[in-house]
Amino acid sequence: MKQGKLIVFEGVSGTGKETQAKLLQRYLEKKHIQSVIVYHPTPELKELLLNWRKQRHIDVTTEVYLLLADRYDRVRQIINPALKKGQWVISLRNAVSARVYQGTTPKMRSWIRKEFSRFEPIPYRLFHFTITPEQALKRIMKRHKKTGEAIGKFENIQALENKLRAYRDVLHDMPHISIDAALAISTIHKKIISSL
Amino acid sequence: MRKGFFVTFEGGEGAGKSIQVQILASYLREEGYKVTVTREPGGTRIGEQIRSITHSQENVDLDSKAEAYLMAAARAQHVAEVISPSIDAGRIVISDRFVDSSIVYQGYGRKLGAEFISKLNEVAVNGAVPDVTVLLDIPFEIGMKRRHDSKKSTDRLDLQQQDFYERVYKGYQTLARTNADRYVIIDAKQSVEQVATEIRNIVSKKIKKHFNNG
Repeated sequence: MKQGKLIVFEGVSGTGKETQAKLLQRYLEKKHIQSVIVYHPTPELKELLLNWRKQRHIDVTTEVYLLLADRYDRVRQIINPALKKGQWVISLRNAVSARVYQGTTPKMRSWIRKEFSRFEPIPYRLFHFTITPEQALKRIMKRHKKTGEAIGKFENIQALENKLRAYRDVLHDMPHISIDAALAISTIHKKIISSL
Repeated sequence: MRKGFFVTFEGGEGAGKSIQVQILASYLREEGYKVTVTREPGGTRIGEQIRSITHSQENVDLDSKAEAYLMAAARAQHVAEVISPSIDAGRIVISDRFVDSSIVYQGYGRKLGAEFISKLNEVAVNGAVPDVTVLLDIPFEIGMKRRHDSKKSTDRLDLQQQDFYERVYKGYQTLARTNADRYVIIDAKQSVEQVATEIRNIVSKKIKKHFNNG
């Protein structure tokens, strides 16, 4: 059977990655292609990290190892089997996020890259959703009010600016397609499917 | 302040590590040293929570690489939260198991490779290499027998095959040989008192030398 394809959506929170993942899934369904949406980190680990940052002063290196365990498990249990069955996998974030959010030094970043590359499949397409920090924060606050989703430690203007710069550095030597997240949802969707 | 001293205890099941850690710590405290006793896996709240995942009967099929990442996560937290701050404060840190346990159990025992586990843990260890590692040497048949005679509950590790423990035993011997500068091998078939006396003599000599010469 034909191998499936791995699509990765990256970018700071509030850039519409999840909305686009669902639109892409529906598009693929019409083309009779089964697909799976996966999150990195898994929602379970995301919640654990939020708690342990608040209550236990979790060390950033500990976070990286937990992310490795979490992603390794996800790749082994879900991503690789799905790809083998010919399904497409849409991953909301991958190791790029770990390098951006936990890679506090260049040395740390290259270590994170090396460790994840032992098992992380190379994406068929990597989309980076770009946005200004002001827009990102506006969207995050809107979602927070609407759904009650917790505000993470990276979600203020200064931190967002740093993260956007970190994304540019990390993605610099990786093949990727930039998507302006300020565009209309349908425009972005069209751009994505035309890039496949 | 003068940098502290780091002692680790290693050895197979039933070698008597935890009792010897307690005896050595008591002796050193009576000698006037500030001592921090800790253990792996665990040593921190986060570490204990991770330990409950890796040691749970429900996770008999836990993938060995996923386990290696989890152990490294617990270790990174342990070093950052307990070991490094205590050593920086000039204390003596005694840890019941440390990174060598991962190298031996996961690298040799589960055949992930000593090199792989050692490299994977480098960032977690973050330079906290033990000054002395006490290997309580006991043939695994005797260790297992002691373990089963005691009232400790049987956990996941006990359900594994004999050849696993043989690999663990050989792994420790290899580590002791390649790290001869810090390894001290003690015959753990002796009585608790004899073992404790040997450890005290060797370790306290090294500690005195360390603190006197700075």
